[in-house]
Amino acid sequence: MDGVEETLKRIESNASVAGTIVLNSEGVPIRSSFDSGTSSRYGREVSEITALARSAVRDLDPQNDLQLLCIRFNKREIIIGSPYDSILNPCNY
Amino acid sequence: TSSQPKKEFVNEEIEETFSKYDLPISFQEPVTQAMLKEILITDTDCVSLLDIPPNVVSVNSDGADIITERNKQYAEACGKRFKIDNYVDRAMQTLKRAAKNKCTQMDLMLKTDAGNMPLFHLSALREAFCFPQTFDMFVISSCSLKDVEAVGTSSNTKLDWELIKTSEKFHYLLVITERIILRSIFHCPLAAYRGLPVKPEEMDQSKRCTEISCSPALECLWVFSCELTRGRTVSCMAWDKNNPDLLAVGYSETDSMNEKPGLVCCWCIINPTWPERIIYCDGAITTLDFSANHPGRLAVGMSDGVIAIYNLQTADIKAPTFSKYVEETVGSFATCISHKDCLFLQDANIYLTCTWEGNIQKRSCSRSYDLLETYSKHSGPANCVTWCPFHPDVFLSCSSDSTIRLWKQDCKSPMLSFTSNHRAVHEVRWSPRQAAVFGAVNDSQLEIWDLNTNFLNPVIVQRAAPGLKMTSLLFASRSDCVMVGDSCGQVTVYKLQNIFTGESSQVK
Repeated sequence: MDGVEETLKRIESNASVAGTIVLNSEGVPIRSSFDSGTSSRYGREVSEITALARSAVRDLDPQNDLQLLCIRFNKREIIIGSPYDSILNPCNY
Repeated sequence: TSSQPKKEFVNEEIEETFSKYDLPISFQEPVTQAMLKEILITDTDCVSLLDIPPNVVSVNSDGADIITERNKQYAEACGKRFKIDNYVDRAMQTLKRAAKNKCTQMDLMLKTDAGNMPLFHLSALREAFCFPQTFDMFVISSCSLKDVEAVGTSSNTKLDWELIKTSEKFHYLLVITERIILRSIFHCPLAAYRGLPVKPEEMDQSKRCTEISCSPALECLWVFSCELTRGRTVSCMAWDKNNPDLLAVGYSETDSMNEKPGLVCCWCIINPTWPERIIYCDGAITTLDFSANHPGRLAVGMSDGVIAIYNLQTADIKAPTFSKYVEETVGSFATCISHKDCLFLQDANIYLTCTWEGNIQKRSCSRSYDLLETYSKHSGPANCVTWCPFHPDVFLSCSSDSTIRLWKQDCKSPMLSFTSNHRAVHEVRWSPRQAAVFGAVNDSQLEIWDLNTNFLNPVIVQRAAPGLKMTSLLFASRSDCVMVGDSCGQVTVYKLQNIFTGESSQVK
């Protein structure tokens, strides 16, 4: 099986994926295929909403934790994956 | 005298938390010699939010009895907590929010694991979050120590990324995300494969307008192909008996000048763009099959006479778990092996082999490969033989003399013979779901025959794209689909439409 880099490249090379952003736990973009302005904007919003979603999940069931969050807009969809220390964020049309 | 002091070690300080985007300029400029003339290092004020020191009273003092009495009452109340309605158990979530770093200059703290003992150096660590209990504090401080080591500037991203890359969880999450994305792209073909209806608004614009015809037809659903397989010829395919969504495809070299190692890819229906497992073998693959009894084992036969068994459960497959060189054919996994001799098991005892001369020989396993019967009618080498899944005595054979013949086990000459164009037929297979339907693949086209409808011509003919040769064929057991492998390393999935199941009518 290939590693993280190859899988990430394959996701990014998909025609319907606009790009990916990897954030650290503070919402700072670590690795992104967008420019830094867009990345930091997405980073700020995404970390807030992920924290909200995670607290909702854990309020309902303290043993659980948030794994994936998909937000579908009219024209786009953001998939936010969150292990305990980082958030991946591919946006596709 | 009193009970254990609950030392609420809340040494919190309030301090300005800078947002990342307006760091003071001084942190970003390099420190020059000139600036080092006069430096004044001060501390911000320490504000204590909550500090409850324990009250220690000597046993001999006057108020001691009252205090002991109160302590006892409290201990009782704690014990009765579960029974009294005044107290309700509630789970609390502890969110580990992002740690806020504060830059300080100090020597690195050496930390030792000492269980629940409070750290004595904590006053020197300025962290801007609160410590609820002693042992929790220990855990939190260990994280913050790591951050302190890593120098708290905002450009820590390189280190973070290296750490994240090694995380198993992150990799798993990436795999899931990839599958979600592919699922939404391949939503319609996948639904068609599984036989599920698709809502009209979910289909592409182009597909909505096609008329629905009633004649038998093939609809191309998707193609399994990636850069690794481009240019190779598909030689064999097999379904996993334990997991009907897994397809193993064996590739051989395209021309003998370009000696590439043989390749086996295990594709999952969920992901047509990249195989789940990739195995490189030394020789060109002629056949493969999955084990019915042992999940995850794939037997691969190669043109140089080697049979290797691979364990697919590990992600990284480098070497086979078992490898053996054989001169003659073996029938343990019901696969066919080297040198163009084909072998197909019907029941445990009888099997058929087809040969270069065009004869098909029936042999018995139990009587040490004795020749029971020979069926000869083909004028070219027989390529493939397959038993009918619905009728135990009937089998089909195909050969390079461009004919397909239908035989009955006890009859020496074929019952029926089918030709449609003058090309060598590579493979013929019965449909597992519809009796009297079979498919055949030759260089230039895929043919689906339905014996209930037409003996002379195939009901569906799908021509190969120009420049491509179709080399391999496999029906799907759970779905009305057929997989066709070609000389460019692609496996195309077609859905059979409007072929209706009929009675098994093999009487002649």
